[in-house]
Amino acid sequence: MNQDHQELIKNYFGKHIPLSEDALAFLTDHFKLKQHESRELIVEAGAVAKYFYLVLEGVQAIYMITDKGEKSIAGFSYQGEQSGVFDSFVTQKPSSLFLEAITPSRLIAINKHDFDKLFELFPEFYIWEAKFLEMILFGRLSRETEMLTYTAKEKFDAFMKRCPKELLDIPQKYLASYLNMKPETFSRLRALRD
Amino acid sequence: MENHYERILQRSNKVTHRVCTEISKLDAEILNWKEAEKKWSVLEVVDHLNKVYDIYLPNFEDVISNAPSLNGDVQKTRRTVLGRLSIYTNKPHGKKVKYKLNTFDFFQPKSEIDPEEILEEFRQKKDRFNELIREARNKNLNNTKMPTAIKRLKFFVGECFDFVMSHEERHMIQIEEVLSKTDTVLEK
Repeated sequence: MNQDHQELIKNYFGKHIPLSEDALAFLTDHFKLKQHESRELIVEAGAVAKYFYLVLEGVQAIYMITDKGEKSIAGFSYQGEQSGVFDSFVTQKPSSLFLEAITPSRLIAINKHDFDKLFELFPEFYIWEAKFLEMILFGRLSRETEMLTYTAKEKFDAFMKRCPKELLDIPQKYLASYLNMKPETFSRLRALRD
Repeated sequence: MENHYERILQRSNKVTHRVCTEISKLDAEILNWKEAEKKWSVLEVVDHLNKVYDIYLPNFEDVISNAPSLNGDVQKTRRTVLGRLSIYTNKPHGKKVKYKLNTFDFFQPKSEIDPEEILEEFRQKKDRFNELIREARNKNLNNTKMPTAIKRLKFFVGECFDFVMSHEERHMIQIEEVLSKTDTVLEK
């Protein structure tokens, strides 16, 4: 049994629901370590997402490639948080998104079969799922509002306020794409701030 | 074009999923059905795609294993005139095949084929092809050319991936057309 895996599982799920010994043992048993070098694709568009991940270490970006061949970043995952392409994982249909390790990454992953089993064995996880989906939805809604109504400066400020430190170390082009602005705009705003 | 290899991978994964997860579940009767003696069944199309990989996989392996790592270089996709033309004529435009093309004799499918064998071979070849796309993504192949099925005709590597995929997508349309006809035949 791996101590840091169990710690992460406890913190992650324990935020939302009380975690029984049995459930913790099941999760610790079925979340397996996956390591990815930087630039490695964790989930590929066109293929089915096999795992739901929790991040031990590293930053990952989720993005789509537009018809023009541009990378459009939808979000990031980082230490302590979940990762993966959830819609493809749930439906087991091909993903339209890529998930890439931006920095060397250590994740723990549970497959679809064991994930489904979790809900069968421990129905309290439906409460976790409701809270999880609520959190994702609210996050998406506030991002949509920012994208539609904020100026570049406002988007940048809001992002800087909530962004974890480790995200600021990744190449600026990823952050700029996430905020839907040109890399030059992002670096100008950053220079003004520093 | 930016993110060239990610796009190729996405296109290739789509075909893998369609053939190896969905079409592979169909009965042998459907997979072997053909509209006319001179037309291809689904399995014959897949066999043809396998034969194409027999030629192209070793060529890709050769150039990719010999190429230097990307090391932060910018990836460019250079094109040749004939490469552009070949991709354009092969690539499906909408849901119809635009130009009729004939295959070479050595790409002709076998007539008697075991579905499981052909589909398993295809799955293995797609896995290898997808692996090669991932490898190419981390290499500098900007100025590297490779031979095609016509040995003297050389394409840039990135271009050649696009060519093989465009050809495959063209045959996926053919497969979908055959399948749409089998449904009506089998329903009677």
